[in-house]
Amino acid sequence: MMLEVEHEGEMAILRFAGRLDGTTVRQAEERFLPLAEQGTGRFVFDLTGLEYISSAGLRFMLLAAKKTKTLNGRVALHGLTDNVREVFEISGFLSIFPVFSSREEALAYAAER
Amino acid sequence: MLLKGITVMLAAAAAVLAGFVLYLRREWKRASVLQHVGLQLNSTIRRRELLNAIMQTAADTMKAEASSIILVDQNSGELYFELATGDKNEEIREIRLQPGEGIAGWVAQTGKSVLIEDAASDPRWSGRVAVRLGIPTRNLMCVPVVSNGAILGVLQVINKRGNRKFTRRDLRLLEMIASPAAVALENMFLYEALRETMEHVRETTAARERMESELRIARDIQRSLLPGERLAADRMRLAARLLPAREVGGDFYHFFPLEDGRLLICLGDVSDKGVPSALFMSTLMIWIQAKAKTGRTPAEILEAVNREVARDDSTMFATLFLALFDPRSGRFLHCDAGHCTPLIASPEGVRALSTRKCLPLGAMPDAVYEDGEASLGPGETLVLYTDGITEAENPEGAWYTAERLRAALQDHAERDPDELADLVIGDVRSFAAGRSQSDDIAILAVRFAK
Repeated sequence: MMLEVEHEGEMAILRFAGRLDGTTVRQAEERFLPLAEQGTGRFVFDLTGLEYISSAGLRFMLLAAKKTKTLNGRVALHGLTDNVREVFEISGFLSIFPVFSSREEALAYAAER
Repeated sequence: MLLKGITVMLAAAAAVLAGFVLYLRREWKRASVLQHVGLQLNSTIRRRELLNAIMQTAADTMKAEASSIILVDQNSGELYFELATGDKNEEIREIRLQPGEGIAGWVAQTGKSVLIEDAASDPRWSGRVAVRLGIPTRNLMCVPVVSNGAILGVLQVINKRGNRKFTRRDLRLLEMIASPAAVALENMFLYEALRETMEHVRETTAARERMESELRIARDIQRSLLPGERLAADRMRLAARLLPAREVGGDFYHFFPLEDGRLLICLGDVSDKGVPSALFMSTLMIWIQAKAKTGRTPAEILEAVNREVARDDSTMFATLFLALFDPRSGRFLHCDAGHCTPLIASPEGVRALSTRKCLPLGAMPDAVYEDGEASLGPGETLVLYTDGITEAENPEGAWYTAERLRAALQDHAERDPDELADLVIGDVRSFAAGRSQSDDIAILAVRFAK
């Protein structure tokens, strides 16, 4: 899995590519947690390049949702591929993650006060 | 004249003899010294003791004030002191020299011996050792310690006692001492490597045993929770199978009759593996059993269970499908906590059960659950399963997929639930073609008789 981090103001944009599963989820946590611990609460997850997400990957998403909640922040998703969208849908996770069709909308939502 | 000649000859002979005796005595002494050295150095194989023995022997034999053995780090080429004899030995234990640094470095690099009669005036002397030793170095000898062509280190003696100087003969003797020292060091390194290997083997074996026993515990918990593999009530026949993966994946199912004659069935998948997931699933099953007994609907049961298990600081969750089934009418209420969409199979076709998607159990403390209602027609079978089936991989890495599952169910829709479950698992297995199962496989089939 590839994970790039980009900063825009007080927001962090995490770009995922490849597979987010039991073997790569640690990598995601190691990038995300320090940001959250430094107080970054507003995230955009760009999933355009994400081909697959397992239940371990969903646990990471849940971790992100819970961490940002404690920081009064928010996570916005965009760029879900059909596979990934199906996993979010089946698991009921669409109800806790705002999903947007464009980067601009996701950025705007994540920045909202 | 003759007498004088004889006298001269005798005197010469005596001189030769005396020289020979001196030579013999020196050789004997040298041989006995070396034998003594050999005995000293073979007395131990432990690093500290051996290095001490080498230094002590070298210092004693050479009548030197101090001695040190400096080893070459075979990876970095650096030289390092383990410790040294003399009263300042505590202070030089940690010294490391760059490759080629100082006299020791030069000797280790060139493999040549060095005899320095006046250390202060030799430019090769870095001063570093002298400073750390705290002994003013007047003179010294330094020889390489070589085994099988590899320079293991250098042996150094400092300051001949009694304010005297080291000689060429002293240097040759030190070179001779270096030879058994090299053999002893080589043995020490072999012993250390062997011990390290043994330690590594011991650790990995212990780790594996620990893991194996954790796997066993997880599997035992998982197995002990299962209610069995089949049940029959009125017009309903139920069969379930669970095949744990090597590293137990957290699949589970449950079924039991309620007081009103309905049957609770559920099948789920914990988002983790091993013992934590086994414990989470056992907690869930206990809560489900407890909350189901008071006339609640599936959504009410799951909402109550979720309140017990969900925490803000945890990300452990389980997807689950739960239904309360009336075995007389085929009607059932159900709730879908983020689980794989159930399928309904009949000879006419396979369709997905339409559900309202709710969050997995444990995901969010304030999650809301909603009921759905459906019914099985005569001859229809409701099939619950986990993604261990749809994501089973073949040797090429391709998935079994939901489409193949639908096709298999279509093919065997007339079968009773036991046969159906076994046929599906057989089909998954033949698709996997020997590729090892990476996740648990669970399936539960409920058929409403014609």
